[in-house]
Amino acid sequence: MRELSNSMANDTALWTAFKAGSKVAFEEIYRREIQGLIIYGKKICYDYDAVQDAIQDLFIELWNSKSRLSETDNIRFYLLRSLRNKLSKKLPSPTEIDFIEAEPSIEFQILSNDTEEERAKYLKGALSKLSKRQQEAINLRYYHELSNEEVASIMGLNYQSVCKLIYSGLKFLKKNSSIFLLIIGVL
Amino acid sequence: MNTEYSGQKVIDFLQKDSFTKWALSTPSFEYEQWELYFRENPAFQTEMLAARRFILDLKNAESLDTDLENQIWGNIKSRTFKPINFFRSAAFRAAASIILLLSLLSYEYIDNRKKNEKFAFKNEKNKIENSNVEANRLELPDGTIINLSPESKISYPDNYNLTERIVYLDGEAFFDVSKNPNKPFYVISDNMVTKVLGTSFLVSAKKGSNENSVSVKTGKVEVLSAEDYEKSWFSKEIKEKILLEPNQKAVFSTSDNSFSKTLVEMPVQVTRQTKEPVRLNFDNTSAEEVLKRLSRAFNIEINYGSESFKNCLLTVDLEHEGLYASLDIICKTLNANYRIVETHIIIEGKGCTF
Repeated sequence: MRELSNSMANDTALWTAFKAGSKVAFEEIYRREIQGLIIYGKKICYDYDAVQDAIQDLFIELWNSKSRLSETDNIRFYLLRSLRNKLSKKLPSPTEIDFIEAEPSIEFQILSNDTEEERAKYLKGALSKLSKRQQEAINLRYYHELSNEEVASIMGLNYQSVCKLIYSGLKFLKKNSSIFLLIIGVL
Repeated sequence: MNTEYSGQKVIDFLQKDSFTKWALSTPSFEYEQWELYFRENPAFQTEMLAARRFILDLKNAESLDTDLENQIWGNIKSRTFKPINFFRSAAFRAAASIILLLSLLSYEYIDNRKKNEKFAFKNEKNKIENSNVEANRLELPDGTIINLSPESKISYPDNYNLTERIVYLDGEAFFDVSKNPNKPFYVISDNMVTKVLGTSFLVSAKKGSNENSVSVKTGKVEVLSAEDYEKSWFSKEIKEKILLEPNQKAVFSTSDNSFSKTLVEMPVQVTRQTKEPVRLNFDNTSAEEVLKRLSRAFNIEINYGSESFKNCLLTVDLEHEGLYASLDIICKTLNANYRIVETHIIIEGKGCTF
């Protein structure tokens, strides 16, 4: 897992300062990761209040147990995994359909001169048609920049399942070809 | 539209682990490889850019909630941070100028398990390393001046002056800290945390040592271990906090995790801004008076067992002598000995009978 170590130099030092009791380091960790955690939490759990509570508890527990925490070289990975564990009881049942590959029902009429904001809106619409687990895997892979292996570890799935989830998700978005064509249009 | 464009190829790129980091320009080991690949494969540039665009759009598709961010932070803060009281003590506030020498005696770690940097150089951007032969003068955002000695490095966080001032040091540096009682200044090095509210002190801390020490030249300084520093956030009770006065030194030993107090190697006369300097030129003065004045000049307690030191008369000029040189001269004349016990000096001798 070479990818893990690239942000290590910074992360390890920040983590060390935090473990030594630096409030500054603690706030920096919070500010760096909070938006990603909120977005991720809402992707995996419908109960937004529960997401907020879980994030709050996560950081309070983090502070209170900082001296007992292990050396970690990937803060983001640690936080995402902890948040998922906290929300584990609130996650949708695993019987939910994992793979959605059907054609999207909504019609995408995207022109190549659409603004970034509009494209984001269409993409958001298409993404919302994916299963929660596809959304989660894609969020972890592309928003949080985790590797397939790290995504597998967080989601408690094997490597192949994660690749399949992401592949099926991307395929779905590709079928909705206007998004990819649009991408070409703005090159 | 580009007809050569392959949606499948876009997906292929997106499936590669390290591609995301290239797309978002996050530094990674594979970044250069992807750059090279991009330049050398014009046929796939369209697909690579499309895949990059897709990742950027995914990021943009998520909306940020700064209100929620601040709300959660407020809740977290109220349930974690508690005020640190003892640093607001009168003695600490009264400290006028602080010169502090923090040194770590060279010592190789027996424990080689951890190869990690012990020092928290959290921010590469704000990391300054002096590899020159001469000291390097720097200024921090709050106006604090640092003279960084050769072979030393220092770093500070981006939000250095936000609520507190923290610097991480490996090596030696002289600090002239701009005074701000609301934002304590911390020097974090290895196992020890030194806090001051102003003004100037010298810190020397070599990495890889198991014995740290803080030596104060003038003013007052509080020192505590990193472990107790953490505890101080939650409780007013501090297992071991050390208040150091001028010419005193605290030595922290990692083997038993505690401080011991002693005197600095080279005590200097304490400068007094309001009072006139203590005269150390004596003519037929009783040894008792000489020691009393030395004690005042260096702010060091001097005890002597024998009452009969009163009877000894000394004619000596100690104006330009150090403390230990002065004591040597006095003891030689009086046929006495001195020793340092913690932060006191004890003089033993028969004294004079006439």
